[in-house]
This record gives sequence, C-alpha cells and structure tokens, in this order.
Amino acid sequence: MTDQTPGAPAPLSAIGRHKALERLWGTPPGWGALSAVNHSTVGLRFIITSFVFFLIGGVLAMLIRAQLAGPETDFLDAAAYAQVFTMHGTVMMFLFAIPAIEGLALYMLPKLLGARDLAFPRLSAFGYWCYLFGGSILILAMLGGVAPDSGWFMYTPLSSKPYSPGINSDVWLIGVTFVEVSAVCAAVEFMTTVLKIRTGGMALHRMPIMVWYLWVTAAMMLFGFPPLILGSVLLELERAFDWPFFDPTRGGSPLLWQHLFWLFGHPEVYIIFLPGAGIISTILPVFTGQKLVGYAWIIVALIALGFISFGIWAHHMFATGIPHLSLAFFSAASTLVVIPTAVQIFAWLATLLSGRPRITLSMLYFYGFLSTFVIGGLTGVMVAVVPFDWQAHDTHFIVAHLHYVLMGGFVFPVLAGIYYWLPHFTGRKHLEGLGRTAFALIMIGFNAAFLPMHLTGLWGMPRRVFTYGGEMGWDLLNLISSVSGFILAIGFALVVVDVVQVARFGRRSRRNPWGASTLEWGMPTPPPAYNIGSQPHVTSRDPLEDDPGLPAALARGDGYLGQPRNGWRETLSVHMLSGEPDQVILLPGPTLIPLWTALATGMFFVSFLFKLYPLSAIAFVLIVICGWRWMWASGLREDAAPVDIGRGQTAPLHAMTADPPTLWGMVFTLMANGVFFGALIFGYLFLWVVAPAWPPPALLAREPVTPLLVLAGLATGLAAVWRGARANGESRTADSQTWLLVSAAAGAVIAGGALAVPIFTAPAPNSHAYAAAVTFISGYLAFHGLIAAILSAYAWARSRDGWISPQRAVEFSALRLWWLYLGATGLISLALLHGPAWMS
Amino acid sequence: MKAPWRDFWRLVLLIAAFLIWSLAFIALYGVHGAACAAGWANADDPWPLRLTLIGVWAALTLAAAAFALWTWRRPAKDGFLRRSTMAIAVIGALSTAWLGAPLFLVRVCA
Ligand code: HEM
Ligand SMILES: [Cu+2]
Repeated sequence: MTDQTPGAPAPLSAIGRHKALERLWGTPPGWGALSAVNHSTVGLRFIITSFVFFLIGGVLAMLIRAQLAGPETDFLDAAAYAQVFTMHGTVMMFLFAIPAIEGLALYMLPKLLGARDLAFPRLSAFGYWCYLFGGSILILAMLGGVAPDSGWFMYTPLSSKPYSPGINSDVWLIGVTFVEVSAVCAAVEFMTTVLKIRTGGMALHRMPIMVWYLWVTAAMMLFGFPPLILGSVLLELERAFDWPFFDPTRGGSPLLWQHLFWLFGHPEVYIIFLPGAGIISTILPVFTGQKLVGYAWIIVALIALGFISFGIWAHHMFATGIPHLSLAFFSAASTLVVIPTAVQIFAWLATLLSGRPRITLSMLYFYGFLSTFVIGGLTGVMVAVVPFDWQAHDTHFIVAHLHYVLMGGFVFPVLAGIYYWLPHFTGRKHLEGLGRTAFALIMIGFNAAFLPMHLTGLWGMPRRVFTYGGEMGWDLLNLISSVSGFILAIGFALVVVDVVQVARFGRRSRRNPWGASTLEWGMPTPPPAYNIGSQPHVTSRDPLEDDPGLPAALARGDGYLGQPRNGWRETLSVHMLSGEPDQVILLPGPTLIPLWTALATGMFFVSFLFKLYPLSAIAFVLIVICGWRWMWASGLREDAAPVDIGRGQTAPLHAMTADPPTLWGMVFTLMANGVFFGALIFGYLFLWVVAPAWPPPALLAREPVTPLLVLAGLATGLAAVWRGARANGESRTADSQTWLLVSAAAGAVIAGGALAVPIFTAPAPNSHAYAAAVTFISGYLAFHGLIAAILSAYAWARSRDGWISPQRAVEFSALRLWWLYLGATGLISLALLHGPAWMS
Repeated sequence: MKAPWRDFWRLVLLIAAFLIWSLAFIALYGVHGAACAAGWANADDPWPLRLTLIGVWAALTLAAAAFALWTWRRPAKDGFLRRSTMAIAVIGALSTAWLGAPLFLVRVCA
C-alpha cells in the first residue's frame, strides 16, 4: 500500500473506467447483499423500509377512521383503540418520517456534494440494521397484541408500571430507543460528511441549498434525540428496577418526562419539516427556471430556526400549570420561530413570481404543500396562544392541526421530491396521468378528512377516545372524515402503484430530464455504485449550468480521482471552509461487521425487554468486541506519501492527516453525548427544585475516598494521554505505549471509584429519586471511565501492531478528546454527586 | 491552534450569537423556575426576582450586542461566511433582546 506515485498507468476508456469502478464499489450478490455499505444501496433500503412502515401506519389510520365513522361503534374496544392510535403515531413519527429523511439524506447527500459515499459507510449500514430491528420489535409486539398503548408520547404516570403493568410500554421504550440509536448515528455521519466530504471547490457558499437543510436537520437530530433517549432509559429503569424518577411519592416527577420528551418532540417537528422545505427549495428553481431567491438569507433563517425550535418545547405543556412567566418565555420564542419560516415562504414566493413555473407533478405537490401548510401554520399560531390552547387541548382540533402540519410540511414535499428524483432513482420517465389522479385523490381526501376535525374538536370531541355518543351531534362530520380518509388512502396506494410501474416498465429517460444544475444530475441514472467516474472541481452553485459538458468530462475521468488504483474506494475530502481538496479518503468495502454489531445491540435490547440481564451483559461484551474489530479494519500500517488526485494535484491519504473524518466523528459523537449529559443534569436539578418530597431522606455518606479516586484517575488519565501523544509525536514509541497503559489504568480507576458510590455509600436506588439519580450519574461516569480504558487499550494494541506513527495518530487525537470530555463531565458529576452531601 | 480547529471555530462563530441566545433562554427559564419552586419570591414582593432576571437578561443581551458589533468591525475576510456571521449575530442579538419582553409584562411566579 505504499507506492503512491505509479508511473502513470494507461488511461482508461469511459467504459473501462465504469467497469473498474463498479467492481470496486459494488456490493456482492446473493447473501453478500447483507454486507452492503454503499450509501445508495443502504439509502434505498432505508427509504423503501420507511414506506413499508408508512403503509402499516396507514392501515392503522384506516382502523382508527373505521372505528370513529359512526357513534358507539364496537369494532375496536377501548384497549385495542389505545394500541392502534399509539402505534399509528409511533410508526408514523419514528418509523416512517425520521427514517425516510435519513434514507433520503443517505442516498442524496454524497451525490449533491459530488462525492462517492458518506464519511462512515459502515455506520450507515449499522444504522439501517438498528432501524430495521427496532421497528420490527414494535411491529411484532403489535401482532402479538402487546403493542404500546399510552399514546405516542408515552406520558407518565400512564406509562409507568402501576398503570401499564404489561410489557407494552417496555416495547415502546426499547424499540424506539433502538431506532433512535440509528438516528444519532445518521446525525454524526451527516455532520461529518457535509463538513469534510465534498468535491473540490465546493466552498460553503457553493453547497446546494438542500445540503444546508440537511446539515441543519442533522445538527438538530444530534441535539434533539439524546434527551429522548435519556428519558426512555430513565423510564425503562423505573419500570424494570423501580427507580422512581417519575414517581412523585418518592421524589420523582411526571413533568420530567414531559420536559425530556418535548425537548426532543418539538424540534422533531422541525426535523421533519426542514428536509421537506429543502426539497421545495430544490425543485422550485428547477421548475421555474429562476435561481432561488435569497440563498444566503435562507441559510441564516435555517440556523436561527434550528436554535429557536429548541426553545419552545414547553408549548406542549401549557396545560400543566408551570408558572406564567416561564410559559411567556416559551410564547416569546414561539412567536419568534414564525419569522424564519416566513423568510422561507417569501423566498419561495419570490422565486415563483419571478420565474415561469412549469406545471409538473412535483409542482402540484408544491402548491398542495403551500396551501396545506399555511392552514396548519395558522392553527398552530392559534394553539400557541395560551388561553386558546387550554380550550383546544386534547381535542380533535389538535389532531387536525397536527396532520395539516405533518402532511403539508412533510408528506407533500416528500411526494414532490419523489416525483422529482424518480428519473434519478430509476433512470426512467414517468407519465403524469396516473400521478395526477393520485394527487387529486390525496388533496380532496386529505382536506375533506381533516378540515371537519377542526370543528368536531372545537365542539369538544376529545382525541384518543375510542367512541362517542350519538347525542353529541358529531356523527355526520366524522362519517365525512372517515370516508375521505379512505379516499386519501386510495390516493397513496395509487402513488405506490405509479412508482412501482415506472421503476419496472417506464421508458428510459435521458440524463437530467428537468434541466437541473446540481451535481446529482451529472451522473448516469440510475446511479452506479460509485456515483461518478471522477469528481468535478466546482466554481459555482450550478456546475451543470456552467458547463453542460461536465457529465461527459467526468465520465471520461477528467476530474479528481478518475484513475482507479490499488483496489481503493477513494473519495475526496476538502478544507471545510474553502472546499479546496485536502485529503483522499479511503473508504471500507462491503463487510458484515455492521450487521454483527447491530445484532449484538439487538441482543442487548431484547434481553433487557425480557429481563434476562445476564444476557444483556454478554451482549455488551459482544458489542465491545465488534466495535474493536470494526475500528481495527481501517488505517495504514506504513506512512504513505501524498497521492496524485488528478488535475495536477496531490493530497495525503486521510490516515496521514491531523484531522481525518474519524476525528470529526468523535467531535460530533461527544456533542450528542454532551447533550445527553446536559439533559441528565437538567433532570437532576429539575427534580431537586420542583419535585415534591425533596430534599431526600438520606444523602450519600460523606467520604473522601471515592471522589479522590475519581479525581486522581482524571488527572492521571489526562496527563497520560497528553504525554503519550507527545512521545508518539517524537517517535518515542515505547514511552507512548507505556503512557497508553497508564491511561487505561486511569480509566479503570475512575470506573471503580464511580461504581463504589452506589455499591457502598448511596441509599438504595428505589428508595428515592435522589438515590436513583445518584446511581445513574455514577453509572454514567463509570461507563465513560470504562470506555476510556478500552480506547486506551485499543490504541496501545494498535501502536504495538504498527498502525500508529507520528503522522498516523488519530487514535491519540480521538482518545485525547474522550479524556477532555471525561474530565469535564467527571468534575461536574463529582460536584453533583458529592456536593450536596458535603454541604449539608 | 492547529489549522482544522481554527476553521472549525470559525464555523462556531457563525452560530455563536444563537449560542448566547440559548444561554439566555436556559438562564432565564432556569433561574425563574428554580426561584419560584424554591419559594424565593412571592407575589407580594416580586421585585428581587424580577430584577435578578432583568439583570441576567440585560447581561446576555449586552454580550450578544457586543458580539454583533465585533463581527461588524472585523476586517474583511472571506465573503459569504463573514456576511452570514454578521447577519446571524444581529438577528441573534435581537432575538435575545426579545426574550426579555415577558419580564416586563407578566407577573413572576403566578
Ligand atoms: C393516512 C392518513 C392519516 C389518517 C386518516 C390519520 C388519522 C389520524 C387520527 C384520526 C388520529 C387521532 C386518533 C385519536 O386521537 O383518537 C391520528 C393521530 C395521529 N397521527 Fe395520523 N393519520 C394519517 C396520517 C398520519 C401521518 C402521515 C402522520 C405523521 C407523519 C400521522 C401522525 C399522527 C400522530 C403523531 C397522531 C397522534 C397519536 C397519539 O395521539 O398518540 N398521521 N391520525
Ligand atoms: Cu411544538
């Protein structure tokens, strides 16, 4: 793997290049398909799976509407109805909407960026398996009649053990958390990819607008999901071991769940909406023949929106009796959030008005989106007004609002996107006739189904109630809703039929049928596994418009990395601001390791579900082993000179640089982790000041031993990794290895010192939420100490085996970040754990 | 600082104004919630708490404003990033100021 300056091999023909690259990037056939890591393959799997879940959610919606079609129907009883609406909401939100977005981003992001794959292909595959397994747990439970039934937001105490003794809520907590693992993986992957894995010349301001949307979405996922994961873990601990985080008689608070859930739940609405808006911003310029008005302002608005949407979670809690002034802060933020949305709408209208719109199916869905979303937005403003919300709270008015926003802001734009990219996905043309019929059915069905719900809601019809009396006067409107609901469903079914028949029988379409200017249209369609024969150097946001001959030139190998060599899967990495090439990334090929890791993770979750805790411990060990082998497989064993990247330039291989993608992956992972920890601190302090039955009856024993152990471990570990890195930089390999062993020992000491607290000095965790929280925080600290030890041992083994040199040192830089994180969270944890005991 | 990190911090600067906004939001919400729950303030004598909150708000709004001013005074660099940073800085400062409005309108702890 060393000789990087070959005596210029004979140039390939376009066909020869295609064959060579296809061999390099393809996925083996048959069972080998399980080893796929390619982003197009995994992305398509994500998308198709999410639509299967959409159909399941749709069938559940039909069950709901059948039940509500008339008064006092006894098609579903109250218990079955609870499972059905809970599963409908859960499937739609967690198994359809979010994964559909992830799938779209997985598939499109590298193509939009002119790259050949994402930063961490194996992570994509792992995320897919987690999603599939987690979703299957939920569906299997439903088929077994034990689906979750406490509503899609699982409010405690309803979802707590005394009121939901069955396994139903555990299924939700574990299944959804499993799926969220995949969302966090995707977020880390997308953050890193947009930061570094672009084609040459793609500075920040030359990124397609869709990339900015997806980037902001990924950041919101990175920050939004950890609180939900924390909440789910805490609730599962309460249910499994009686740790009373949410039990007010023992110092817990059901409001804590609501905070953690909506801390995720409101941003979730925007996580779903932003990619939809991104699709709109992408197709409008194409179909109006006019550049997107206000590119930079949209980006500014997106960033503002990303933050502000986190500041309004409590508007879902207006009816919970938190102080007025607190609510007023949320109202202030809620009004603020309208502005960035308005900026986008104005930008779209300006684009529309200054261009000449072509009426295509995508544009029809755009108009559908606009009208629907505006209505949803208006009712949203209505419920943001606190007194109105008290009136409409928990009625079908909310159901109507929610579906106007979700259908308008997400489903319709996604349909617009499907029809826009269908020629790209399939390489075939579609005829608009069937699609237009479907569109008409969807529009009519949707509005006729949900408009009446505003009225039934205002007349007092509660949501989530399985039937109503004939004397209420809600019959006719409900019947209309139900009949229209079926029309809507037929519309969706037609879309599926349409898409399938285009994919199977459509006529071959020429490349770039819409005349778009972004790079995903500069490749053959359907795209080959490697995306493009060579990577372009872009000088504007519209490379295909600047140079209509670009696709042919790239296929000829005129761009970067056009020369397949050494069996490498290569893609370019760039300077994050200017977009100048700065590394060549060597990506891993097909492997089963993501599948094994996901299976081990699944074993962990499922054994927890069935309370087989020894198995969970084994699963954890298996996960560590898989992770170790996963990481081991990449890198270089010898230093390599910079390689030729075409266009007369050279660049180092990523393993030879100071900031390979792994480093940024670690940065973003730690950010998500930090949000988890922040939510944990918030929860602890929240219980301390707000929950009844505090201060707790007993605090930790006051002792200096465990905190000093942890402190010593932190200081030693930080010093060791710094000195180790320096020794490595100065080629004192033996010293650096010694320091790594010291670092491993320090991690183990921290784990021991932290674990000693719940074992020896804390009150029993089921006695009070304080004791439970203290145990949890100690566990968190111990876990991070353990990981520090494992990472150090790993780096030691890598160094012994020759994978680390002064230049190849990502193990050190990643470990250093881990220790910095552990240092900061460790000090805070110590203060939280021992501070109260010492001050009392 | 090594080059990749320097670039990374320039991206952080892009969003820094809204980091201040987030801090303001958390501080206002947190201090107020804690004070009310702990009974530090009551309806008869709201002023100590109200003034504390106004102080927190004013300090962070000033910080955001100072940051905005700084971005406008910085010597010209690469266009898009710089202009976006300036725009977000101003919007972030205004948004932070806006958060304070309820402080003057709504009763504390009721
Ligand atoms: C196919 C057309 C659809 C119909 C006819 C439909 C119908 C309904 C109805 C009637 C309810 C209220 C049940 C009740 O509270 O008693 C409901 C709840 C809900 N729907 Fe839909 N829906 C559809 C599609 C969607 C989509 C596409 C999404 C999301 C992307 C979605 C998300 C939700 C959520 C989150 C709830 C709340 C569940 C809960 O209360 O826990 N729905 N739906
Ligand atoms: Cu919300």
